[in-house]
Amino acid sequence: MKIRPLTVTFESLNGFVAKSRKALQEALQNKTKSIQKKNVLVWASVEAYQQFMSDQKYTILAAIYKYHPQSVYQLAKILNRAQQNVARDCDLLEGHGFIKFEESKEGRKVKSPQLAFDYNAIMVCLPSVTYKVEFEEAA
Amino acid sequence: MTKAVVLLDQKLDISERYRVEIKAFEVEATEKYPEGFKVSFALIDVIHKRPRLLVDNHAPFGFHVHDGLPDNKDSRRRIKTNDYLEALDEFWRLAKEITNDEN
Repeated sequence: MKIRPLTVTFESLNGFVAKSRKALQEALQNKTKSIQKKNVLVWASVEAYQQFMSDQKYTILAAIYKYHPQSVYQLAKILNRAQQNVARDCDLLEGHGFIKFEESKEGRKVKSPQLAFDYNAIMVCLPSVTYKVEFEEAA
Repeated sequence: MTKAVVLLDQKLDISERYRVEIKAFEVEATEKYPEGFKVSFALIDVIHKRPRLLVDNHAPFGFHVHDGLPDNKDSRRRIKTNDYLEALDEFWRLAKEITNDEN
C-alpha cells in the first residue's frame, strides 16, 4: 500500500515568527509566494502536539479513513463513544487542519466528517537533537 | 475587480486552543487597499471557533488590530505604523501575550 502521509513538523514559536517576517518581506518586495502545503501542519512544540493528539483523536482519524461515516452521530456509534465528546474532538481536529466537514447536498443538511485530504498516515517529523560535548570543557 | 493572488499563507498550531494564520494577498490597488496588498494576521481560538486577535490593513483605518474579539467585532485600535513588518511584529507581541496568559 502506498503511503500518502499528512506530515506534522515542528518549528519553535520564535523560529516561526522570524520565518513569517522574512516571508512577508519577500512577498511584499519581490512578490515571492510562500504558501504552506495542504499536506503539512506545523506545530510550535512536540509537547503541544502530543498533548493535543490523543489516542482517541488518532482513532477518530482512522475510523473516518476506514468507514467514511456520514455524520458525527455515525462516527460516535462506530467508536462507541458519546456523540458530544466525538463532536468536540472533531471540531478540534477540523480547527487544526486534520479533517474537514462536508455538508450533504441532498435531504437533511448533515455534515459528514472527512479527512482534510486523501491521506492514510500521519508522519510526525520530530526535530533532530544535536549537541556537542567539547573535550576541552569535559576534561 | 481582479482576483486576489495569495502571496503568503502560513499556519502555526501553538496549542490545542490556538492557531496562528499569517496571510498576504496581492489585490487590485483601490481606495481600500491603496498599495495593492491585503494582509491578515489572525490568532484563532480553535476551541471556541472564532478569531481571538486579528490585524488587517484596510482603509480608512490603515493597520489596525481588532482587539475586542470575539465579543466586539467593531472594536479597532490603530497601529501607529505604515510598515507591514512592524504591524506583524505588533501582532506577534499581542499574540504571545494572549497565548502566554491563556494557555
